[in-house]
Amino acid sequence: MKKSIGDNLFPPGLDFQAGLKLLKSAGYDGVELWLGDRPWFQMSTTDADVTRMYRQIRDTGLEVSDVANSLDWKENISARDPRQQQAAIRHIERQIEVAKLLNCDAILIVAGLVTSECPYNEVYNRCVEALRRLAGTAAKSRVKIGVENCCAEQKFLLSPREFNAFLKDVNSPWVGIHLDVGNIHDTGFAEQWIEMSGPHITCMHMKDVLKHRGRCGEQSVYTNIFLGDNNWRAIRDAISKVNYDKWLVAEMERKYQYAPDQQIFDTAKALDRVMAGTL
Amino acid sequence: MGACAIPMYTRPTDFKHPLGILADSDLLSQESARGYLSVLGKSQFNRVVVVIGGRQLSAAALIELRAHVAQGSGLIWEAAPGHDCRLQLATLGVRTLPPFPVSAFENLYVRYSNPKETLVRRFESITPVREECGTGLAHYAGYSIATKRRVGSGRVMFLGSMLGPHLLAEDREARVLARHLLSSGSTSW
Repeated sequence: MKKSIGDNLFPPGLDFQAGLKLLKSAGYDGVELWLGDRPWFQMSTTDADVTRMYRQIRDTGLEVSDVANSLDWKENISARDPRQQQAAIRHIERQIEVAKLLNCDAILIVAGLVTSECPYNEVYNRCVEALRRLAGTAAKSRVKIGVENCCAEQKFLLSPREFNAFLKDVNSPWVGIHLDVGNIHDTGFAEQWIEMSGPHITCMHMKDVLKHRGRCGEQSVYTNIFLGDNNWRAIRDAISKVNYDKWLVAEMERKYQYAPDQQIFDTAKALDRVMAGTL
Repeated sequence: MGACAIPMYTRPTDFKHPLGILADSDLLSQESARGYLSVLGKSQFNRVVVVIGGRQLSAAALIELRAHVAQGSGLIWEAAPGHDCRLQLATLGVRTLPPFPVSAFENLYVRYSNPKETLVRRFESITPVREECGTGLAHYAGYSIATKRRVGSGRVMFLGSMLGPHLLAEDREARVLARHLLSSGSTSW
């Protein structure tokens, strides 16, 4: 396995190049790029710019683990408004194009936002339809679409069995799950999601979760690896069980208030322990 | 013994069928039997008997079972949680230790090394087996908990933690492992 972390976690004030150097010095193998999050990687970023970024990444000795986006929360494939849905399809297609330019085989999306206005079944059907279409583009580019399990935030696909049924309905080997072990909160167990998702896992997000807290207001439930309630030994064993051997990508919500670069180093060490199984 | 759909044996001494399952009547054992059936039903296996629990197997039935195995059949004996099967298994040359309960805080997985490297969830109770009585197949918490040995022309495989319920629960790795275990023609036996 290899370890990575998002460019959205580069400490404030660092530009892209300096952020990459920080990751390299902390021992990461790769970087997760977030479309729409940092100024260097937006929908307006051209292919030439992306190629330049790729050269910087490669010259630093890193790879791109996957291409994520922070745009799905505003433009989702489940949106009723056709313009919003089209915008979502467009930015996902852009992720696929960019992934190819970056020599990377996976993207992350958040598919489906259930709200009081937009009910579950409607969201479900619209997501399946949209993903069936996007699967064709993904197949041509040989890039896998990883649908993230943001269960509580999306109010959608709340169990691994449900998620598997969803993927079965989409019915494409190019659409799988980008499994976040922190997003399961108190509604389940990450190791069971890993066991049940197995070969459908395109990539994994690593973070810890304070299960007892629940998400109330602005109070975050997410914390650094080993500080929360995840059963990391079970998670590591489940990773071995399903023979997952791809990227472990750290994703933190809560950031260090002081010495923010220290979080990058601490997280790298924690990922090393997870990979080595010394827990 | 609980009667179940084919290829379940209905009587402990009815080993005329080349392939079959003999399960205790409790729900977990029956669930395990259905798990094995789901694997057996999709593949070509022959001359394999699966015993689940074996609580009600008499001494006479055990002798008959041993003779059946010695003639060239494979036997998989799956220990039921909490059932001390030392005396029964001794008939087949397998020396088990008393079962022990497993704390929820210990490792969740049994590690199989043979016939295929696999992690499978453990059950609440595990029956260890003495290493020296055969070839080790799996370990948990430092104990050997599964073994295989020859009996005449046949083979006996003892599993100290249930596998069948995982097969019914569609555990991918467990199902692959079970197919390996059940392949009576396989040289891995």
